[in-house]
Amino acid sequence: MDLNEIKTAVIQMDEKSTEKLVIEALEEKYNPLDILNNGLIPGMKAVGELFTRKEYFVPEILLASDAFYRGFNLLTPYLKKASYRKKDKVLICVVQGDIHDIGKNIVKVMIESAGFQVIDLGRDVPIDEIIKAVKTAKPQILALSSLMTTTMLQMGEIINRLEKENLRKNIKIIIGGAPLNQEFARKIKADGYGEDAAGAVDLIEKLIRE
Amino acid sequence: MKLVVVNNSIKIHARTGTLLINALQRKALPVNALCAGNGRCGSCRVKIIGKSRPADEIEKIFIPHKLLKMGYRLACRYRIEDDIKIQIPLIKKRKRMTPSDAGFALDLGTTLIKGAGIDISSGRLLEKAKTQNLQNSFGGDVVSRIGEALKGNYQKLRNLMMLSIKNIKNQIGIKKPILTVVVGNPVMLSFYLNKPVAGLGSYPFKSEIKGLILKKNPVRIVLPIIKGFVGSDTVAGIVAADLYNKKKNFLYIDLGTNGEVVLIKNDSIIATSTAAGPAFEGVGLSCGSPAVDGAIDRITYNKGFRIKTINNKEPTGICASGIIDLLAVLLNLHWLTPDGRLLKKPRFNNITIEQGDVRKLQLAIGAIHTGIKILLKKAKLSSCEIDGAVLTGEFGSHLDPSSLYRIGLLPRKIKKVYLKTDLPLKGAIMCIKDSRTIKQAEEISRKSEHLELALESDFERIFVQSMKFSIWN
Repeated sequence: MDLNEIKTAVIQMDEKSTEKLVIEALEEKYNPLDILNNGLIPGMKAVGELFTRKEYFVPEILLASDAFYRGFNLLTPYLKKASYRKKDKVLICVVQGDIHDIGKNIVKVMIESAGFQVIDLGRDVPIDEIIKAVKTAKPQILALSSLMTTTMLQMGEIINRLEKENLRKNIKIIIGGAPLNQEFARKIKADGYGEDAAGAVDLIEKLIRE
Repeated sequence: MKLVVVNNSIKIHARTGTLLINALQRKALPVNALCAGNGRCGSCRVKIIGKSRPADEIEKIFIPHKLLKMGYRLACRYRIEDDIKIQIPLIKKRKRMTPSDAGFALDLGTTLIKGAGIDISSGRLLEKAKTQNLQNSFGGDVVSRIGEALKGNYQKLRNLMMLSIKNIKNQIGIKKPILTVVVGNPVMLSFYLNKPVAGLGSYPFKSEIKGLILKKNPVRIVLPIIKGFVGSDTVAGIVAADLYNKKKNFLYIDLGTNGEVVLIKNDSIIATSTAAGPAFEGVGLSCGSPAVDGAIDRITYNKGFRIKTINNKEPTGICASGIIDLLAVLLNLHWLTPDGRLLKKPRFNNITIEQGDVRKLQLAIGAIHTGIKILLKKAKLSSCEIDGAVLTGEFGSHLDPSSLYRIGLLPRKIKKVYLKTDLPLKGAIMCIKDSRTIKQAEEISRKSEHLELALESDFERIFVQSMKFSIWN
C-alpha cells in the first residue's frame, strides 16, 4: 500500500478508512513513525491548508481530526519509546469563565499533528491551575483561548502572574479566539496572536526558532 | 350579604361571591376603575372596615404595604363573602384618558428598544415605536456590552439605556405612564435596574435579577427572566404566542443575537440560548442589512433571480428573510454545496454574498439547529411530535418556511411554522391589559428549566453535524 492513501483518508474525513489503512500499514510492517510522518500528519496539514483557503470549515476540520486521532491512537503504543515528537511542549487551555472549546480543540489537533507534545487543560481553567501546570510541566509554549470579550481580559492577568512568579522568561505565550486580535496581543505583552488553527502552527514554529 | 358604604351610609344587598366593584357599579357609586376592573391600574382602591381577607398578589402590587395593613383592597379583586363595611376614598375628578396617563410596554432589546403606549381603560394601543439602543456604539452583542461595563463604562451604558427609553417615550408621546411593564434580556434588564452585569460576563452566567420586580411611584413591573441569557423577553414572547399549557408541544425561537430556543411541552419548558451571533439581524455580513426600506427581503429563482425589497425601494442590502431565501436558492442551484462552499456568486446590483458570509451563517444556523436538536433530545421528543414552531425576530415581514426547511434551520416534520415580529413587546402589552397575564409570565419563568448547550456531552458532535445545509426531517 501507499501511505498517501492514509493522507487522502484523513483529508476526506473518513474515520473508518483511516483506521483500516493504518492497521493494514502496520500489518505490512511499515515503520509506525513513517505512517505518522508520511500518512496522518501530511493529511492533517493538507486539511489545515484547505481551511486557510476557506474550502474547509469548522465541521471538516473536526471530522478530519476524528480520523487523524483514530489512526494516531493506533500508533501510540508503538511510538512510546521512539522519540517521534518534537521536544517542545505546548500547554493549551480555554481561560476561566469560558466554556466554548471547539476552537481550542481545532488548534490542539493542528499542533499535535504537527508533532508537538500537547498538554490540554480543557476549558474554564482558573489562573492558579494554569500557573501550577506551567510550573510542573514546564512547557515552551502556553496557548490561551477565549471566545468572549469578557473572559479575554484574564489573559493579561495570566501573563502578569507569570512575570510575578518569574516564569515568564522561559515561556512563549500565544493567544487566539474570535474577539482577539494582534493589537490586543501586543497590549497584554503576549508573544503572538494566531488568526486561525493553521496560523497557530506557523506561529509556534516561528517562536521556537527565535 | 350586606354591604355598607360608610361615606353615605348606603346599604347594598349583594349575592355571596359578587365582586365588590360590580356591587358598587350597580348602585352607580363613584369608584375609580380606569382599567375597567381588570386589576391592572389599582385605581379602584377601597378601605375595608373591620376584618378583611388577606391581600392577593395584584393588590400587593398596586397598594402600598401601609395601606394594605389599614385594610385597603382593590374593589375589582374583592369578592363579597361576608357582610362588610367599606369606605370609598375621596375620588378625584376622573380625567379624560390621554397618552400621558396611559400604560407603557417596553422591550429592551440589545439592538432595538421597542415601546407601546396603551390606553388602560380600553386596552387600546395608542402608539407603537422602536428606536436604536444607543448602547449599540459599544458593540452589537450583550457580551461586548458587559466587556465595556467591566472596563469602567457601566454608568455610561446605563445612561445610554435610559436615554434610549426617554427617546422611545418621546416618540410615543407618553410622559408619566401610570403603569409600565418591562421585558428584556438579563443584560439589558440589569442596566435598566442599575444592577451589576459582571456575573453575566462569564460562566456560569449569573445575573442579579430574580423573579418579578416591582418598582413603585410610578408602578413599573419587570417581568421575570428564565436564567443565563434567557430573559423576560422570551417569557413575554411565549405568553404572547400563547404556547403554554396547551397540551401540545411547541418550539419558540427568537432569531436574535442570543438565539433563544425554547421547547414547550404542555406545561414543562426547557430553554436555552445559542451563540447565533448577529447574522440574522443582518449584522457582520458584507451584504447584510437590517429589515429596513430597501432591504431585499425575498429572493426566488425562476429562470433567473427575482428579488423583492421592503417598500420596493432600491436594494441596499439583504435582510434575514432574504438571506435565508438566498441560501435555499443557491443550494437548489448547486451554486452552494451542503458543506458551505460557495461555488458561484449571484449579484443583485452591487450586492452579493461572499464565502465569509456563508461561513457566519453556517455558524448561526448551526447554533439554532443544535439548540433545537439538544432540546428535543432532552424532552424525549422527535421532530414529528412538534405541533408548531413560532419564530420571532427582526427578519422582516415574512420568512419562507420552505427556505427554512431547505437550509436545515427547522426540521421539515414540524407541522406548522408561525412567523411573528415583536412577540416580546406584545407579551408586555398583554400584561398591561390583563394582570392575569403577569401571573402566567411568572409561572412560565418559574417552571422553565435552563440548559447550557456547551456543557452537553454531545454538543460538539451535534454542532458539527448541524452546520451542514441539508434538509432535516
